[in-house]
Amino acid sequence: MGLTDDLTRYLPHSYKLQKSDMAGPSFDPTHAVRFDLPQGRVHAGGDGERVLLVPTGAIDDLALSAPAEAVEALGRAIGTSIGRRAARRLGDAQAASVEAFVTQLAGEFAVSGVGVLSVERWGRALVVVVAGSPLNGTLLAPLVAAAIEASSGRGVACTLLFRDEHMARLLIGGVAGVDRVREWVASGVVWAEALSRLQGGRS
Amino acid sequence: MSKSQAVARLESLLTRVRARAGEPRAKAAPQAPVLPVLPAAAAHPPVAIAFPAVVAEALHVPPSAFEAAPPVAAASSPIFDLDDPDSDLDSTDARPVPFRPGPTRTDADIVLDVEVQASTQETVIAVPVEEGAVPDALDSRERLVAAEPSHVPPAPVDVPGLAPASADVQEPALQLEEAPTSSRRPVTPPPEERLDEMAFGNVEPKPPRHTPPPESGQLPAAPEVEFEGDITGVRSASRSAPPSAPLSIVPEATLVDLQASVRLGAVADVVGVVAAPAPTTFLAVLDLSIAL
Repeated sequence: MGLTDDLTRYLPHSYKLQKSDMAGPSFDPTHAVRFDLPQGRVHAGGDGERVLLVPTGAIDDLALSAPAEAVEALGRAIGTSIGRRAARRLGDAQAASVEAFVTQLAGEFAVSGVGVLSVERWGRALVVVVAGSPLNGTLLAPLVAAAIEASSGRGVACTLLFRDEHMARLLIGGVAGVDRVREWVASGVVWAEALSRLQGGRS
Repeated sequence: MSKSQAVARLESLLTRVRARAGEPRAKAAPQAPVLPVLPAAAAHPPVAIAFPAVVAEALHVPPSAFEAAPPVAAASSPIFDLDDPDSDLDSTDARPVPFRPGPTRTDADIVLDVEVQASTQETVIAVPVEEGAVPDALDSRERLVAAEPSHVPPAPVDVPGLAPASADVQEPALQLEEAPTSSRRPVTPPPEERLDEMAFGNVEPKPPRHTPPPESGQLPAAPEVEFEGDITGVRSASRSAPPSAPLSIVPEATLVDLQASVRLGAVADVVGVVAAPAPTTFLAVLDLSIAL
């Protein structure tokens, strides 16, 4: 039984990870967004992808009214755009460290107005935390998954573990593992316990 | 043999000698005996006949009569012993004369020795006997050998034509050297001195006393004890036959087969699992999560 199990059992809600400041790598937001006022265009990133400034309320209404596949497609589209720009910044994403990768990805998340992105490692499970996001969980999960796939080149699955008004915690993993955790959480298992089970603990 | 028996025998012997002296000499040589030429070293020493005073009184002969006796060469070993109970003076005529090698045995030689018991405390008169003093007894074959004449110095023989060979010959004087202290054994001081030392304390130190040095001569042979070479460690090396080829030394190694005797799984007890190195790249972390 490892440290993760102990923390999962006794401190599922009060446990707070000590966040480290990523002083090494930095995100350069210069000309991250260009407003072409004469042309009435907004361009993001180096390749000049045209973007649209949409109010978050409209996105929420769409996510609540649209089918889940449409919402997921919307989220994946937004995430893929963010992931591509981060990958462009990383250059060789295969050799990028955790800090460097998260820095560039979090920078693009911030420029897009999705929120503040950070990552947590719960054992071997990778957990992405998005704080201050205006998007709901049904839209945010496909968005994060698509962003990581576009920036890393790996196909991943994502599910929402925890969501409150300040932050959302999402599990990044394989399809099988994510489906089991989703089922455990849906059945009432605390997300931390679900992560512990995923590590090979009690099932 | 008691003293009276000895006197009786001597008397009978004297009577017989006198009787024979009065008989005509049939076997005696007509001429005067001629002494053979002898080397100086082989000359017979004069023999001193030792008669106790008792004998002189018994024979009724004044002691001066013995003084005129010329020295007679004596045999080195006794031939007839009066003390011998088997020796009978009466049968001396029938007893054959023992053969004596060398020229020392002549008819003129008469050895008349009388043995005196060492326990006899009477006065002994040493009378040198000259050869010509007893002419009547020359034909006698009887010998009375009693004393050892070896200590008597040899008498010079005056032979015409021969230079006195032994005139200048003298026996080397025995030079007695003091034996070294190491050959002496210390002797405890007499009890008087020890009592004085115990009573008065300071007593003049005296030279340590030692036993007399051992007499020179042949020492008794040490008992032959066979020592086994394996016990004493003494080896007899042959000097004449050196080893022909150098000895080759071959090491004998003792090797241990650890794999056969030790169960490798029980050597170390592993507690816990070695932590895998933390992934350094984001993709590595992602892959670990995907693999769950």
